[in-house]
Amino acid sequence: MDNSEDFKKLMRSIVIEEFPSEIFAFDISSDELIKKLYQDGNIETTLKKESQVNFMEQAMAVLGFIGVLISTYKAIIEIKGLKLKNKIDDQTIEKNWMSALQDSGLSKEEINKVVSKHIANLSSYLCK
Amino acid sequence: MNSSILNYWKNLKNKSVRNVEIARGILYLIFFVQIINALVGIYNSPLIGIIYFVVYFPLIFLIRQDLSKDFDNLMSDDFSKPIDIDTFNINLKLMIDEVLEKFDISEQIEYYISINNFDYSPFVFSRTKVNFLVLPLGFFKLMYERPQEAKAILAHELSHIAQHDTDLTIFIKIFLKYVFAILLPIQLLILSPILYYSYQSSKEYRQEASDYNNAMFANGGAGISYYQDMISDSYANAKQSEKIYWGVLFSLVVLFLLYGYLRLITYNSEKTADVGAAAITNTSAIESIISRVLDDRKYKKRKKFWFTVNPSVDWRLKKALLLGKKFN
Repeated sequence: MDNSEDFKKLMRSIVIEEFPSEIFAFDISSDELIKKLYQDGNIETTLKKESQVNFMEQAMAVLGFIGVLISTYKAIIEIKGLKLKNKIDDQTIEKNWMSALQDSGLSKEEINKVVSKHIANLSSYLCK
Repeated sequence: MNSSILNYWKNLKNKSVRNVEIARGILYLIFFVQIINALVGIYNSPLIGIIYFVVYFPLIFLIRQDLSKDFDNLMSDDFSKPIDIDTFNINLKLMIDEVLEKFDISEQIEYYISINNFDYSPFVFSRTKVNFLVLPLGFFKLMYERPQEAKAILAHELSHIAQHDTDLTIFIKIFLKYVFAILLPIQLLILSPILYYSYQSSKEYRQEASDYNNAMFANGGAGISYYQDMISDSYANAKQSEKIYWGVLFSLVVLFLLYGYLRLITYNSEKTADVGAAAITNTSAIESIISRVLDDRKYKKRKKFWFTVNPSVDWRLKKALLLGKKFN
């Protein structure tokens, strides 16, 4: 997965609609965060700070987009794996994304809202 | 309302600056006295001198290392970036300019953003007369959701720069951490055999004095010279041990008084910064921030040490409520 610019665009559209107050925080951090995510495959290890307990939980509690960013990235990896085995359709994408977002700290209603609004964007991203 | 709180803050700030200078002087004096102690120790008793150098001086380097940790972390961190405050974000610039003007701060400040820090609250520290204000990601969310609270937090941090205590409070924390967690246990470990010896000598001396008394009056004076020699040796030992014993007790009392004093300095420092924040915004903004920190603390479950010098969030909330009553 090397189309990080497209991933950033997808995430930005989610942040603008679902977390409008976090857009500035997203804009100043997304390049670094996505770069690390693509390099290491996991922000949790690269962002880990020794001094803070439950660092990722805290990050997700303060900034909602962090959880969505990580979960969506994980869902994309899984879906790409299924794609290689030709087991992919819109329902599978939706199901996998919803299941991944359960770890993002969002409520069920918020997950449904994010997925229903942005599933088309994710599907078109996956088709590229 | 704000102008009267601002005047109140100016008074507190002036007192705080003075107290901080005194505390700084006392801490430097302690270091100086310890160095003299070590040198005198080497002259009088090589063993005590060596103990000082082995135990005490590595601590100075550890404290120095701890003090520069924030700075080194910031400089080596891929996720921290210096920002040009004039062009970075207009809302932030306006907030900062307002606080700097009202607090009359002319000190040099460098601004950084920290991408791997998701707290709401920025933090300040200083190094070689340059102050650093580090803005975490969460702050930018707060700025959009609750600008008054963001401004109050910013004012609290910048108040510390005006109070000249950005490095002192960290220094105090680290100083006490090493004194109470390392230095004191090691010294007690070394001194406990001496204290035991002191107790034994005193006991022995009392016993011998009683025997001497018996020899004088009960046995018609037989064997008095033997007892006299023994008692004068024991008496000298007991006196020497007593000196050490009282010395240790005195050091402990001084240490706990020092701890209380330094605690008072940090409590005043935080209170003054909170008053500053209320002067820039209002008392209810402070109350809601502190309440939020209280919830956040519960969530984070941060480790607390019993010798902590920072005031508790409950204490700060109480003070903020009193401030609200005073000025509303």
